[in-house]
Amino acid sequence: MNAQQPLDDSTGYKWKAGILVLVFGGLFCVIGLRLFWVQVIEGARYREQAKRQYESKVELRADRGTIVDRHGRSIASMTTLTSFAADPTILKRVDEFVQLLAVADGKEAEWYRRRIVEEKGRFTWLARGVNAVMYPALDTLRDRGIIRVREPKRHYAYGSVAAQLLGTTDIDNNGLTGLELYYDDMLRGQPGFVVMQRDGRGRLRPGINPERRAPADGLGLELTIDVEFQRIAEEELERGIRETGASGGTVIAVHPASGDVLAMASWPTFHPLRLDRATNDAIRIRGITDVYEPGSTMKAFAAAALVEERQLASTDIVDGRQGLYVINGTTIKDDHPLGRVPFHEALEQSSNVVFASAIRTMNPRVYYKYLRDFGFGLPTGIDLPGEMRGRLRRPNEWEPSTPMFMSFGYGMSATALQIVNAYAAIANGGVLMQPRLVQAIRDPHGVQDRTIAPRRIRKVVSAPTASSLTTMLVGVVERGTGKLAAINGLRIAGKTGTAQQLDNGTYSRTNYTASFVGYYPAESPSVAMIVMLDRPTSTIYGGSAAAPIFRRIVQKSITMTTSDESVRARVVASAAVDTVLVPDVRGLHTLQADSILRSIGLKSQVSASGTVVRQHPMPGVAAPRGNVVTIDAMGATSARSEQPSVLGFTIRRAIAVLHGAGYEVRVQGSGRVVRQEWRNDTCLIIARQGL
Amino acid sequence: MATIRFDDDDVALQRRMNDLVDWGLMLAVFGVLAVGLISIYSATYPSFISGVSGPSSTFVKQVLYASIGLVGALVAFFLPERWMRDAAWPMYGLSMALLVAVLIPGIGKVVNGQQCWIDIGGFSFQPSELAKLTTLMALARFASEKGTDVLTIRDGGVALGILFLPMALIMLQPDTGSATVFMAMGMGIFLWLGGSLFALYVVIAGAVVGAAALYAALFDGMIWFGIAAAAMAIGAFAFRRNVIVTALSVVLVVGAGLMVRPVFDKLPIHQQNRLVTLFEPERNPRGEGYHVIQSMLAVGSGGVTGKGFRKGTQTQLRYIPEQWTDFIFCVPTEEFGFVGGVMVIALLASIMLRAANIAVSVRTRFASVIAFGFGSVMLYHTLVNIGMAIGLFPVMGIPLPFLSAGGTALIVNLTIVGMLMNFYKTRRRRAASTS
Repeated sequence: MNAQQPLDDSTGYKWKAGILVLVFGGLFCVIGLRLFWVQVIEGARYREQAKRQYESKVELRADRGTIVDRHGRSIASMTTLTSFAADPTILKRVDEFVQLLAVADGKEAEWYRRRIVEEKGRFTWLARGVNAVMYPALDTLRDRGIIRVREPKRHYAYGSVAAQLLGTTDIDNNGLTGLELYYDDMLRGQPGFVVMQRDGRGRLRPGINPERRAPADGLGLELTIDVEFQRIAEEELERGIRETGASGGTVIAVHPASGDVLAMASWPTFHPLRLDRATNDAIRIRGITDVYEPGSTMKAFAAAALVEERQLASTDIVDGRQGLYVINGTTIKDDHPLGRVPFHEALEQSSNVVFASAIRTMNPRVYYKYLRDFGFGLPTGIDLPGEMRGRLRRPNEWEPSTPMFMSFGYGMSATALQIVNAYAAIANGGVLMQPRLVQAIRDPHGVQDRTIAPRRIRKVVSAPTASSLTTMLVGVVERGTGKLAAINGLRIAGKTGTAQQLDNGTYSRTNYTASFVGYYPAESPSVAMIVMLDRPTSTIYGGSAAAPIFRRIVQKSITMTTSDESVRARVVASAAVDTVLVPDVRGLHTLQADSILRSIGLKSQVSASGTVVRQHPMPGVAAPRGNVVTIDAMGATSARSEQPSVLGFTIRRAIAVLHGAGYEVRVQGSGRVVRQEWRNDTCLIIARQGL
Repeated sequence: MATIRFDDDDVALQRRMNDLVDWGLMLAVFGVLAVGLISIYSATYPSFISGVSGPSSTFVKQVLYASIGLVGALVAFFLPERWMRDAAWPMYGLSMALLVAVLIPGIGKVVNGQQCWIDIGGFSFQPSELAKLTTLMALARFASEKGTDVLTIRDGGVALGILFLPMALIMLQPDTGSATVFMAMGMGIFLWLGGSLFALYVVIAGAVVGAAALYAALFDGMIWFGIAAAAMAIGAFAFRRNVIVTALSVVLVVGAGLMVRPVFDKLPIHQQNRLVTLFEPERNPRGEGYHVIQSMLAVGSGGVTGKGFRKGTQTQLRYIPEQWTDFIFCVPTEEFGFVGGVMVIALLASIMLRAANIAVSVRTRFASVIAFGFGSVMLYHTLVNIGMAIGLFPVMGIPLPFLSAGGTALIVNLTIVGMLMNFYKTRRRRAASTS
């Protein structure tokens, strides 16, 4: 006990202790003041900052509105797709899971198992975008290792039908093109939210009393489109483009009395779920974005102006000047020269001379007024984004020759929709309607909410003028350039147009726009429709390239556009005898022959490949579409066949055919074969240049 | 051991009890222990994601440690002081052996690059915490030997040796934070045993000027360095010591400050970043500054009265990793606000005041040194830990006494409290026996 040093009072430690307590009291005060500063003075700022860190507003997605056609058929709706992933470290029911995935997603079970086993981390994607509703066992399989990511996605019941028109959305539910863009505000709805808490490792969890707002789903659209009509229009447009070698085209069908757009097809097209592969060319709605010089389809409006102004009547005699009209240094020519004929015949034969000379007598301001009133140079006001207005110069900018060129569709431009809508005005007794695509808005549950009334724009010409025009246009189809659009039993009013395209400021000799626009039945039109082809190659004329497409669409769609039973029956009957002329494929390679035959709707049966020497049926025979043409190649038979005719062939092709058929050939001259003479097994072919 | 004589008068009994028991210290310790357990309960309560509910194993363990610590305190309370003196050297030897053992791979467990734990059947033991107690006891024993004067070069050297041995071993772990605690302990005892207040002032002035110099080096604020140096110089002259000694000290302090810049430039880049983060945690919110920013957010967002028990968003959402160890102070401040924070500080401060009071009251050097040394260590822990949580000090691995989760520290601290209570109880008798 006593070993210890006594504590010595003399060192003044009590005094020291006092100082120390003061110093350290001071230090504690510093700490306290700092705490006061951080918590009380700056507290609000830190609270705000902390809130920003841990609060996370999670958007609750609103379902995009559904789009249905005029008969209520769903075209675009929402489905929920599920993507599956797994956390291999805690996944237990592997066997069951991979089996179910294999059924739903289509790969082999082993593939999924390998992905799970080989994954070193805690996350591996297994299947994307599975419609899990179809596979309830997979959807409800409970395992903490299964990660499901659900995302709503547009479902297109008709695939690519009306793709451009419906338009596209991005992954965030924003409309990008088409109706999805134009009606985005209605379709998108109002997203809701729930405030979640984010923890220090970034995981989200619901708070105690989470602030929440339910999402409001988007409104639905009821279109004026008839999706079946649209499908037929697209099919036939594509077929026509294939047959004519055009680079693109559009078909627009309008209900004249209401302005309802029944179909609006554009080609090339795309699949809405494969947007990544779509070109800009395919996404465009050509009917409203592409302007072109319409050509002869404009003659109807010159005629309407002339008739309405009582300058000419359909039966008045006009002078075709034998196809050549020179005035003030301007030369106007006709492909089919006319003499003195009635006005309606000039329209039937599409005489530029007659229209140019007739419109010259009209006051340019009056002519301009009619074109304006028909809607040229102005947007039609259709409910789609990106509509072009075309070009219609004012009369004070006109040169003396301008109205003459405009009368047959040059020196101005228009969209296909403007043309068809103007024809619909004639069909509608002279009253121009605003074209439209949406006839009613539906609430999120699909119940019709409000209808949209058709909008009349103006009366352009009187009813008698319109009916006179209809009679003249029926003549075009029955007797004139539009004969290929004619259908036995249905009166179609229409007009062809073939226009050279402007190519760097000069009119191209190779690029044409071929169009046919018309309406039917002429007595009480239910459909006005335009078929427009961009740069067809195998035939450039509206009458031969576009009119047949028009006819086929009418034939296939008549049951939906006309209620008149007898008309229906006759049109359906006419469609049955849809025939084509068998082309001459002899001397071509079988592959080439096959593609030519298929392009016009015939099938080929090839016995052996090589150069075609024989075909059945023979060229020029009318055969129903879908018939089989048998083609034999060289070497398929050794025996000589009948002596083939090679008139009009090039020498090379003629020799191929004749050799193939087993004959010797002697040649005189060069160019194309004009005569052939037979001497036993030898054929002498006489050719001449420049046929 | 005192025999309690029962008086007829209850008041007299009470007076006798009050004389034997330091109620203030006891209440403060129980208070701080309760706040600590509540904070750990809240901070470790299973999160929503784990899907488990009920108190965490960390909390249950801490309750267990607290119980063991109370048993230790009870034992220390009744143990004669003589036995403690006798045990000082063997215990020092044992704890040094443990500090060596923890460095041996296989025995010591490496956590976050530091080898400072020994696993014993599911519980982790931290020899450096035990060393705080044994070193304190060893120093007290040495200083209380007859004829020892730590102010002489010889005895001062021995005392420094006793102090530096555990420090060096702990630096090898490496656990710089814990090692600095021994510095604080040494300084406190030095002062208590008659060391010059001026010398202590020079050391602290050196630290302040060094910090100012560092700030100056990082942010081109030489003006602050100048102001700090000038203030410290004036303070030094206020001691009215020998002019030459004073001038030399000032030169030494300012010179050390001027050395900061070149030394800083030589430091590895990650240590430089650490120092930058000290002043501007926003510079590096994902790395070095993360703890400080999150800690400030938790403390600051608590406001005046806090968000309520288990409603502190930053705590419950686990923004601060391992919050229940070194950043436990954020829990009471976030959930109980400024009120809670001040309460914790007040409780800890009163423990220190009671320790200082005991250091003054007792009549033996051994008890006095232990009491004052413990107070110094507590002060250092508290200032640094809280300062770190509110952005005044750099992040160091120094726990908050009685609050932070961790068994060794809690048991050791409670045992020391038991010793202090013991010293308080016997203070008069000792005085009587020596005078």
